[in-house]
Amino acid sequence: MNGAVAKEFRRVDVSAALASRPATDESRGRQVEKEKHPKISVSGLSFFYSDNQALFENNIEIAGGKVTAVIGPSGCGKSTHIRVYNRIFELYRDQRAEGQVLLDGQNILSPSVDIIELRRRVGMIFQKPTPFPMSVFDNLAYGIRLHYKPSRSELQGRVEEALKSAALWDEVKDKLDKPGTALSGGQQQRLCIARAIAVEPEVLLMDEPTSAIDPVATARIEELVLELKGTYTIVIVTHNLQQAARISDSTAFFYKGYIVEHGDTRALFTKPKNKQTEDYLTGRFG
Amino acid sequence: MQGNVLHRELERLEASLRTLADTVVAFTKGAVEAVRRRDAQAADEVIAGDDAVDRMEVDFEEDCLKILALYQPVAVDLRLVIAMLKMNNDLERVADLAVSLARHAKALPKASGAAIPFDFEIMAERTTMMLEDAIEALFGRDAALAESVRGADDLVDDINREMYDRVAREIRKDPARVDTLIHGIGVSRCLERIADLATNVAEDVIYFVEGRIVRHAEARRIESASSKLESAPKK
Repeated sequence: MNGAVAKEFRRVDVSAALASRPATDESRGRQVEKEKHPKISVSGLSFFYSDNQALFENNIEIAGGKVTAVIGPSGCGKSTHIRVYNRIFELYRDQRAEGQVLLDGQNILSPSVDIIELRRRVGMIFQKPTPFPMSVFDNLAYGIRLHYKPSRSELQGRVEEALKSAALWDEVKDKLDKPGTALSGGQQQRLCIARAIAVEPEVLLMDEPTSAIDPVATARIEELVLELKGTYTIVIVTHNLQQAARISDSTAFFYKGYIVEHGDTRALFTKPKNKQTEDYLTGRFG
Repeated sequence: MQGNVLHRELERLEASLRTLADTVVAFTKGAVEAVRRRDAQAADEVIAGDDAVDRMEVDFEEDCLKILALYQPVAVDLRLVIAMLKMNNDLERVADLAVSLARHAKALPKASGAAIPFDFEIMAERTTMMLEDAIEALFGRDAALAESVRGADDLVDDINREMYDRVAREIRKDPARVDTLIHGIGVSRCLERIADLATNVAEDVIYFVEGRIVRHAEARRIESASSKLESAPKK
């Protein structure tokens, strides 16, 4: 051993190394518990398509600034559930929700809620990218103008900021006047995320946002979700269990309109409490 | 759904581990028998078989890695693969210790009065039983049996500790027997390590069946209690 290495070796302070080691599962659990401030608090939520009941007495608390994944087999009510959070279901006839959905303590199912303002606060990204048939710039400017009536320079600043937040600015800064539909599938999806971010929402609902794009674009969206959490509360519906495991802090398992289990993602994917959850995760049904 | 394909792969993996485990138990019993009877031929059979166990360990690890990469198992399936991956490693080390035992068996003199100064029979019986029970606990998904293996380790540790005192006394009494006595230490040490590895296997079974990590549980309990005390309001 040469002198320099020996000196370096002696400098190691075992007590300091132990003190700075990563938190144990238990202490990490306490931290998660501490950070849990429900942004959305759902109680007794039921949902009906005409006479068909699709959700049954759902109760769940969505932690603020965290990523919550919603998983479950097709037709179990995942998308139906999150579509209540910004009342987008009201765009369709014969659909109704019963129960209580509190956003920062305010029941968003109350008839007195301003729907336009609710949908600004709770943005949504769908399975297939849905850029408006207009330029990249106008895709974002549309919502900003609607909500804020900004000056020209302020508008440009907000568009740029949103595109940067969605990790898209570098790729589109020279083609802001090109149609949004001319971008690749992954870019279109990030454009939709930028469009949602542009109006400064508090919650982002993502309904299978990567199921129609390739693995590289999927990885970029996942990175983006991790960057955005903290600033936004994110609820993501996904059929990709590994995606849920990778990016979410907590996971809710839905089955036949019921929330079977909701808890810390790491715990749920290694030791689920409920047998149905375990059977679904391990491919024994679904 | 990948579930069925994954479960077929897991069944195949379990069958491979069973083969490895049976081989390692046979090695351990063969090595114990070689020590008991000072049987060089039995010892050579154990020593010659070690390469095959090494190959089995590597093949098994590759199969586990393939399953992790291709199927990304979760929940009980993930715990099974992780537990088996660790057991594979522990069983290979048991085989190495069986080879060491066999080498000691060849080195121990056959003459009367060459007895090793500790309760070899009890220690060997307890150790092989722990190993067999730990393996049975895995295939029977039996966390209670695995817990009993953990409890059995103390006696083996006690015999090993006591053996050092006895050897020191014997060497002072009869320095001419020093070679035999040193091999005696080796035998005792090998058995004690095999019992430790059987305990590791049992702990992995508990993780697989119940999702609890019981390793160092006492140390973690004390650490947790201390941090609670520190964070409690001072009176």
